[in-house]
Amino acid sequence: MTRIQLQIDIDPAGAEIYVNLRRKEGGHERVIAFVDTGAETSLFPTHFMSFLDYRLAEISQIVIDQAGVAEQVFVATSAYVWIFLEDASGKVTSEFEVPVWFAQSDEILVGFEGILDRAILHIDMPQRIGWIEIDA
Amino acid sequence: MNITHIHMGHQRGEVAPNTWSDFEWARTHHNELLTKYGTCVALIYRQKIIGTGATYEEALENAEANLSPEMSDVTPILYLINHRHRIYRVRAATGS
Repeated sequence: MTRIQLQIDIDPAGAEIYVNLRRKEGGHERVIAFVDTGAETSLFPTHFMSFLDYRLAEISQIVIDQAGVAEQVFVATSAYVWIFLEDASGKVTSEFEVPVWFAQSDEILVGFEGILDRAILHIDMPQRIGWIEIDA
Repeated sequence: MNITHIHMGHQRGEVAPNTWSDFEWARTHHNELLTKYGTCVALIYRQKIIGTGATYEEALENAEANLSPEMSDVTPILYLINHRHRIYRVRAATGS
């Protein structure tokens, strides 16, 4: 199990993690993603498809609920991308392939399928520390 | 457009000197950036916004257009400025 530190936010409260996404042209793009225990699958903006290395799965519809905006239905593209997780101390996981949805969203969410469903999540809000332990 | 000055992406294990401080700066100043730029894709280098756009490619083109010619080997971070709505549930529409 690899332990990766999370970034803990207070206002608004939540946890974020650095995700490296494999690019089409080689190398990786580093982004910060919200760790979302309400997301079945990780979510990326559609325009990320212009530079990410992915393989398509299928077109599907997804429902996104967020504060004040209930049940917006989006058409999403299901795909697989290669990622590894990282923290600022230099810890990295191995690279692994995960299913994702690309949708018209301005958020990057790390969800369960392929990531959180194989991880142990620790969040200590009073201490403002957190980490994820993942078999990768 | 011929993108020559800005280097996006990195090899595994490679971290530019500005990377972590720029992420920290962006997270710390997120609300100010949202007020100033609105929801957008931003490229940030040495604690400055060097390009914005509705998409990754627009932000990259904007940064390249605005970059002073003498600057080279610019290694910005990719950062999404958004409203950080923190209550989410994302699920498949079928079978739910």
